[in-house]
Amino acid sequence: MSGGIDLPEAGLDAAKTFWAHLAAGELRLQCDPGADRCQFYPRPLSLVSPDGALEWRAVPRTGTLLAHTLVRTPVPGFPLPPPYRVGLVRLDAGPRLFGVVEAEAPTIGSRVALVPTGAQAGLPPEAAEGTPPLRFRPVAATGA
Amino acid sequence: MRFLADRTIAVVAHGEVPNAKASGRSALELGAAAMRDALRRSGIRPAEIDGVLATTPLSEAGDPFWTNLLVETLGLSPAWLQAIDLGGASAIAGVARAAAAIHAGACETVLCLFADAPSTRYLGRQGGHRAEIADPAGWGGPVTGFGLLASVYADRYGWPEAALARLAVQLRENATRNPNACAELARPLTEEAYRRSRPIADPLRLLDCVMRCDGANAVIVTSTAAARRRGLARVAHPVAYRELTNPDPRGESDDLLASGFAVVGPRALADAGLAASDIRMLQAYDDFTIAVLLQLEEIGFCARGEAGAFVLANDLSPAGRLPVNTGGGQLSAGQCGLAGGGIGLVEAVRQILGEAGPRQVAAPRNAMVTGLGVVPYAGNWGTSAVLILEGDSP
Repeated sequence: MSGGIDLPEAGLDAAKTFWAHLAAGELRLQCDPGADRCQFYPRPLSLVSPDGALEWRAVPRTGTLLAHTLVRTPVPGFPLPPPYRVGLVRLDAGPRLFGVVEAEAPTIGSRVALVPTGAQAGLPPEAAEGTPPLRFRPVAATGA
Repeated sequence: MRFLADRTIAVVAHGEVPNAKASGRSALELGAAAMRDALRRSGIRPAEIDGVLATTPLSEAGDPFWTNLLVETLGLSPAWLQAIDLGGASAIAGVARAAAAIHAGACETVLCLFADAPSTRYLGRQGGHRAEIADPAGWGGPVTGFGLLASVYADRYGWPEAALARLAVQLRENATRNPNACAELARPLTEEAYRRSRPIADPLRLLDCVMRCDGANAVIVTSTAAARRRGLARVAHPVAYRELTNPDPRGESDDLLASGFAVVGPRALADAGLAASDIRMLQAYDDFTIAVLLQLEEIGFCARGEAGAFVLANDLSPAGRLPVNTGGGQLSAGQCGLAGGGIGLVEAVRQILGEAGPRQVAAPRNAMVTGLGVVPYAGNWGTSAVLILEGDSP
């Protein structure tokens, strides 16, 4: 277990670190400080400069919905019964994330934010049990 | 690969066993039958096969020595042996690799063998982001990926339901004339029945998706010189091949519909000296109906957003101007796991050799075969590949 998420024993260290940060209440992504670029999913090297260092940078939870669909068949080990909506979100920090979208009929291009769970929401880690780790909800568009 | 355009390589035989749901047979058994079919059609003897290329079956996943087991079981002794794992692009990518090996002098006659029995035994298991990031977040497999892409298409252009229905119905019609199509699928379909099929990954419906089955297919690739020496008069020349994997390596594109086909389609056509309108038939990789429409646009058969109108305006039947997936494709013949990419390849060779029987395309001077492989994290697909085959007298 890592941050409430079951991972294969031989999982990448970087993936474990991502989930551990999330369970501790922080959305942190790998970032190449030289290029000022974040990347996701977590990888064993920087996609910008293979020899460059990577730091785990806390990033805003907000982003834009790029795509969404309904999962209608059960996924082994996943806590939600189907149907549930999932989507791709372009985080304001740059990378795309896949997760559950808690909205009935979301609009592509709309603003969403990652929902804090468990420790992220000031609750004990057990509160994350049975909850999808990456959940997005609509947020009001910032008047720009 | 200039040597392809120079027609120095020839596909001289095709082999296939009927697709079947939960056949209870193994990839070895199915593969042996497909090889026998190809040898019988060409008169080539096993001792003449000095190269072997094979896909790694889902039903044998976890066996790290698959190709060795395969040639040992089949009684072959190759000087060049190659496994390939490009998912749905593997079959046409395999022909290109076999051609390169022949061109380089590593071998002369290559059996490309694609066999899988995932509806009897499924052992596939993906690590990395799939197991560690996507699955814990609720990923439901390739249908989730294509449901996401479909939502983008629907948002941008409107969901081309009428065109998808037309395509699904045509492919079923083609499958009724293909004795190797899965029995469950080789039945006529109405557009109404398509529209009534249950949603799978909205906006995708059940009949937008392939059905998994067991099967095997094969081609034999050799040099044109060797084909002539053997007196094999009718051949299909692979004249152009292009592939691209992971086209957006840093995830910078915001266009989820932009794929490698926009690169490899035009390049393969240019290599062959052809325009899209010169293509006589298209055997498009069709794990999902929407994948065919996306390829029509990205390769350049029509403009972006116009594939629905293109499908409705053109006769895609074997009698039409651009026949598509003349044997029913995977959508209507069944997806025999990682051998599924071979269905379009074998059908193209069969058509060019004039052996497609009741679904034969008239004057089959050339065929484009496409392959699409592997679902990445938060993107569209990993490998995009295009092969163009020409008959002996185009």
